[in-house]
Amino acid sequence: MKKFLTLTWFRRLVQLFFFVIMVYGSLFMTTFYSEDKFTQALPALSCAYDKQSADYCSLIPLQHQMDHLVSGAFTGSVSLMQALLPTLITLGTFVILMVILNKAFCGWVCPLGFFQEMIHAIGDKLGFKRFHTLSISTLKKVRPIKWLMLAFLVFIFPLLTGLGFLGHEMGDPFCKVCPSRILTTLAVGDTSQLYIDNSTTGYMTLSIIADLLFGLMIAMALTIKQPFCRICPMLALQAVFKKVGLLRLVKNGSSSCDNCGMCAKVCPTDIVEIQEVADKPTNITYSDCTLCGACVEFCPDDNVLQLQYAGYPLFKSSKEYFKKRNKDQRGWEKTTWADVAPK
Amino acid sequence: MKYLIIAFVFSLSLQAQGYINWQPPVKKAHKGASKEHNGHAPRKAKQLQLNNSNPNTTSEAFYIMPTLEKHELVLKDGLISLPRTGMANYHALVVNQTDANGIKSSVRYIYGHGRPSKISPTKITQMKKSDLEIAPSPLPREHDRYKGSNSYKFELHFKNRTLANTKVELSTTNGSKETFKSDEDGEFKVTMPNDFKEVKKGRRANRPAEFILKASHLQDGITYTTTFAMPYHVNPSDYWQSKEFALIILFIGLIIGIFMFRNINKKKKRKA
Repeated sequence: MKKFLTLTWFRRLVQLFFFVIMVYGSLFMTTFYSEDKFTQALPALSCAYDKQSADYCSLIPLQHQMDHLVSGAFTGSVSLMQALLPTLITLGTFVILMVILNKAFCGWVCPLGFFQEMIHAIGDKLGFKRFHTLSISTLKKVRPIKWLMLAFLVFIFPLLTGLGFLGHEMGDPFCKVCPSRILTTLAVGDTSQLYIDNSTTGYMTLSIIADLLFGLMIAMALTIKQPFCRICPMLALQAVFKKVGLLRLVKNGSSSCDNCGMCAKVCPTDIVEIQEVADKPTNITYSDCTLCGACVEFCPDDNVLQLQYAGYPLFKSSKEYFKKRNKDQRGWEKTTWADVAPK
Repeated sequence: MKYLIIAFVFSLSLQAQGYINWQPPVKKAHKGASKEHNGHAPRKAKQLQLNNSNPNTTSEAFYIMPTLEKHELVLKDGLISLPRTGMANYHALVVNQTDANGIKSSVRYIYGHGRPSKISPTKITQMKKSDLEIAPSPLPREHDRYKGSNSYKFELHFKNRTLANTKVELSTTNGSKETFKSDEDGEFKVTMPNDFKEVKKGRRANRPAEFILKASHLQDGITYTTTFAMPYHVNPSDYWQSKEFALIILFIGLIIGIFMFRNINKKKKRKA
């Protein structure tokens, strides 16, 4: 039987490649500690606590800068320039990377996103019933969480810590609860980040949240697509700069879209707004979009949805591709391990 | 006072063996001193003391930046003030001394904060700084440090080559002593002793202790001695962090996730 290479399979290979680099990169790319890494402003959850990683995400320097430097501008211990310059450099590098790949960092690079997709694939094969979409009321409750996480855990709490209003445990509260910290360190055989810390109430609370969230994420990923991505502050931070990205999801104004809703059904973050008909070519890279391209793959109409790079179409929807892709998907969903296991 | 006595006894034991080593100068603890750390904000210039230095010998002391640039330092009464480099990552503080007893050296690595160096600290640990040298393989990475009960690998180098089957002694300011031997590749593994007393809960509540690795080698009638000294800390896993409870909480998270999935499923069925 002739194998059909789908965009999803191609994306999985890219994710696997980046997972190896992000988690184990310093083992083969450079030497230990990875020559200060490529950047400390990667728009994906590559963890600084992983001692073998080749890079790390922008959220850790941002929290440290709020705690140690920006707070100093308020107290007068450092000049405004000294306080803000590192944050501006981090955000500047972040923006450059956003221009290059936009929100595709989430869907194509992030190790935690790849891990959740793999857990979901395992759930499929174990025969767990998958949820194609969450209800609108659930989505309305879930969507603002990522913005609150970004505002409070990345900026406000670290800043208040630096100003002396909160204990030191709140200096980098997002890292303290981030499942990527536990995942990437466990992936290199380091169990030091899986703990309950009973030194203070604050540390204990944060460590309980972290471990609970990690367990919850694994269980939910078996049936729900990308459960943690929906509340991830990185998704929110990327959404702030999504307009500058060269890679975009575009919906062409076309009468051929019959509003079938397939695009929304396959979207891993349940962006129901994609199915709305557009009158003219419109950039529909929504805040929750990870530019995975699933909606383009499953659009049954010619040229309605496109992944564009600097205005040039990289991948566009077509009837022919849809037929093959749908058949491939049905074949994947039909077979579970229970079907192939020896009886 | 207790720390003064420990440091004094510790330096006497080294002196007797003819080793020199870098150590932070012992200061009297001020009552009510602030325990708040100032993060990556500008700090006071750090000082280090060269213990057991013979004042009648010429010492060559230098500071190697993370970019591998070398800066000569001047010892004043065995004390050295470390220059501010404004550079992140490990710096090496090195001293070489030659006297009638042989050639002595000591290396200590100091983590700095500032702009990225773009060079791996492995290069600084592997570059030749002294004839006989103990090189960490590797140094603890950012967000990590030497901790009790953890194992760390080191290499023994002599004139840019690994030195096999040589005795290396470990001693700590908490009183532990142990002996190791480098293998055929010049490597040896050290498990830091968990020898802290009166440990309090919390990372900042406990002062680090100092460990020293000492090695000597006789070649062509010359005795080469070297030390490697660094601070090591209480391992939270030994006292206030629990992996067992973490696994229980993780398991509870898994169960809650499965229950949530069942509830959503039931609601969907009812709606259908």
